[in-house]
Amino acid sequence: MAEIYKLIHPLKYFNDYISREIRPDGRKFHECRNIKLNVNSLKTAEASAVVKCGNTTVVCGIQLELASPKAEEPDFGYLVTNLELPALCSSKYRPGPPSDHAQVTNYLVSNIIVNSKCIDLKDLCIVPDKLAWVLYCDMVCLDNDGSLVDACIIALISSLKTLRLPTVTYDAETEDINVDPDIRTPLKVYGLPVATSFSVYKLPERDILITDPSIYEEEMCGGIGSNFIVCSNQSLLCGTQKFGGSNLPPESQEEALKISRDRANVVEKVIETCLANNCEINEI
Amino acid sequence: MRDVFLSNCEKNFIQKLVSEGHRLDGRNYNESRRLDVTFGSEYGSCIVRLGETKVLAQVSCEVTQPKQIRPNEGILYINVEISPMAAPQFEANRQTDLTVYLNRLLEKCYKDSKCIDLESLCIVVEEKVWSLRVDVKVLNHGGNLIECASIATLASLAHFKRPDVTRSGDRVIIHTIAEKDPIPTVLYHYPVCMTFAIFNNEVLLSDPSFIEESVCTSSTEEGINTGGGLLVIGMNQYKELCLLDLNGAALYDSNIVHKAIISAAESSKQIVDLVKQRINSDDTMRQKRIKINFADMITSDHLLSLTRKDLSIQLKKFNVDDMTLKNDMEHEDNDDEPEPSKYDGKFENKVMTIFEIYSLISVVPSLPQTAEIISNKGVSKWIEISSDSD
Amino acid sequence: MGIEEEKPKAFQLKPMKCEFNFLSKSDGSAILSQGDTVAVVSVNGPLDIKSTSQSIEKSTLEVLYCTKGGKPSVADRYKENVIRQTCEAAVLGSLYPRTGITVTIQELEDFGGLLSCCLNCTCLALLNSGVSMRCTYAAITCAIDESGDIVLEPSKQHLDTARATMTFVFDSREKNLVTSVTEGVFSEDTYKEALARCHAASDLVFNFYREIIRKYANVI
Repeated sequence: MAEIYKLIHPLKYFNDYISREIRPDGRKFHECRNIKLNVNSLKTAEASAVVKCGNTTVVCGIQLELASPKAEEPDFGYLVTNLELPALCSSKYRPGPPSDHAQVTNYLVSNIIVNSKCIDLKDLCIVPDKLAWVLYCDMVCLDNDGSLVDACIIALISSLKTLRLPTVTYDAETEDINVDPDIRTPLKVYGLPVATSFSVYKLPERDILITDPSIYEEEMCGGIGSNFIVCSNQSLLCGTQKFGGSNLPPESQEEALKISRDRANVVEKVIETCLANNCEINEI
Repeated sequence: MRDVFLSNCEKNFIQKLVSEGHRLDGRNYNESRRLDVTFGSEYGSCIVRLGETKVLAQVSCEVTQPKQIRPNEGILYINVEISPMAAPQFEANRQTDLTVYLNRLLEKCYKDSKCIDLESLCIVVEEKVWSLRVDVKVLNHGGNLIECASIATLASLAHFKRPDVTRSGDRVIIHTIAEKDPIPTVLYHYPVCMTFAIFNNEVLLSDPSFIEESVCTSSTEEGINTGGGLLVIGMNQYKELCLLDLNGAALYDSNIVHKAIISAAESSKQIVDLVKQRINSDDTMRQKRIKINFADMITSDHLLSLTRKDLSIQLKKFNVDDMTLKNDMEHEDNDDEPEPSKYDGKFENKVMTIFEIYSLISVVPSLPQTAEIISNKGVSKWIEISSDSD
Repeated sequence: MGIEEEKPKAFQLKPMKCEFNFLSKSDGSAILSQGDTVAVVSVNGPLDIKSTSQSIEKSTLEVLYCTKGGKPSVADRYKENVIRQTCEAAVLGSLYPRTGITVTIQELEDFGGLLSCCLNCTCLALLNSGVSMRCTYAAITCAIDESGDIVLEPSKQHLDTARATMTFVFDSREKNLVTSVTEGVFSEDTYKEALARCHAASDLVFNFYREIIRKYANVI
């Protein structure tokens, strides 16, 4: 019965839930979905992580490569992110070249990483003007159920945190490169950026802020990609993005900032617990 | 590209009008529309307006490796783009026949006529040369795109100045414009393409408008060819031919081409003179440090235009680092801050619950290398085989 | 902190200059200069589009962003996305099902604040084209400079040295935030302050819209 109701009156179905202060999946407006994080999951990548926020699943793997730095920035390394949204993750996507949405989301994710300054590209440089690390961070979404950016950031940042760079010795005269994979140093990660997505739903008399929306909720609230995304690194904001969709009054924003602060703490705890767990395993 | 249809009455009307010695916009047969060249703030960017047709051209340069067969020559690359801005029938990111045709004509006119001294663009033989790229963007397609685009290409190339370079040993230092005066491009001659519409194999219209172009290349309602076509002539200021191109019907009277060439010779001189004069006046303006900008193109006496300079608001001082100042600021600045709404009570309430929710969340290391949030509600629909079987 | 500083200081926005119907072939077009930054926008539609991109409940908005020279990049796609989402919030697309509205933006000069100039110009072109709209919107850019001041409508030099830049878009009906794009790191208080300032400045842009429309449409 409920399924038929949903099909015939999609708006009213959603509206009925929201006006009773509950969301279709049983959450309260400010409740987030469960997060499950696993690091070093892929053996083929130098560092990797799988994260599940509710149903949204993102896998991130980092590959390393050596290259010479750009002539304009001789003491900088590279961090290249790539997000893949294959057809299997949602019925919205077609197989083929990366969709606009994938490109835009990837740009957003790499922007957050750059803006938060959590990776100093100078750390990736080995010999100025000669040799630097290239970090290829490939993210693949296995299931897109909303709040994609949040999941991508968690996956990316936890893989970066587990990344251990091999030692490289460079002979300036013979230009010989010697890589020693046995002695590794962890990559420095400054802070821990966390993104939190919100959807805004407009009831006639007030605006409802929905934290960590599923894809269904995103669609009901002004289409995919119109989330209000707050990114914070420690206590500083490193990006608030919102593209169209329902408008957002100042008081809701204040609320969003508060919630994002709390959620950042929780996510931080998850990542730290996971990494601590990972260390224990390694020591054994 | 979507098809553009012309109605029969439009076709017949234009045909009849031309045969009676008139044109739709009241011009004479050999009269061109008003030509205007505007330069932007950067070197090598200009907008050319020919009547309603508007074309933007921008020259950019970069250092690349030369081609194997011509190791001491720079590279000239022309790229034409027709976006939906030009006219609704064009589609985004799609090459049409017209784009390819226009690109080829411009390449013929500017690359193959050797009007640019490509050897002067060489920095180090076989290693480093300048590559010039001309981006031609059609803003409005009001007919005679070829002429307008070619003037835009010529004007932008003649206006462009590339940064100076000095060689010290193996290294090549590229100076910014502030460090050293940029170098203009050397043009041996100034070729321009001109279009003529041929009606009934006898009448020659210079600078045809969009509707004239469409009518002369289309056939009548019975499907009979009217003997019309488009003739493109490329000529430089010395009255030397660089390019001839005919579209549409076959000509059985060669005199018509001769007539067109004589007419083109005259107007090519005028066009080149205008372009040169504009570049000179632009140069003197720049020397006087007068700001040149595309914004000057916007008219202000028009009914559909508006200029406002007195946009001022009252702002308080604010400094991020000044934490003391911040507290006083909070409410004074935004007069239009919404009044405390009736949901305020509720809002406080919510925040309490949020804190409760987040404090209840427990993070547990469940599996090796894994951490997860355990809360009472299972939103995930995945079957957790791994954690159950553990 | 002296009393002098308490006094509000008048701040001048960059002069705005706009002309409608700049392009004759488009259904609606506008050229807008905000200071030295200039953009042209053309709007075509609602028109027929290929059936694969048709939507049965609203018109499909296609936004194309053209740089002045060089090849298209991912950053352009991003800008297109920002502008498309913002327009989608403003245009009453459900009135034109199964059709397409194409918006083409051409940058002409960039001296800072190009994104907000493009957004404002798009709004003007949409107004000019006569497409039904839910509301208009105004975009304002601000930057937090090295010394920690919030600068509205920063110049190119400001942007190069700025700690953070933010662009906010407000709607005309409730004056609420529609779009926000930020770069750099900043504190929450700074964010709120910048938002409030841009909010105040957006009124001027709305006034500008009103004046230019009033000039040729006497029934408003």
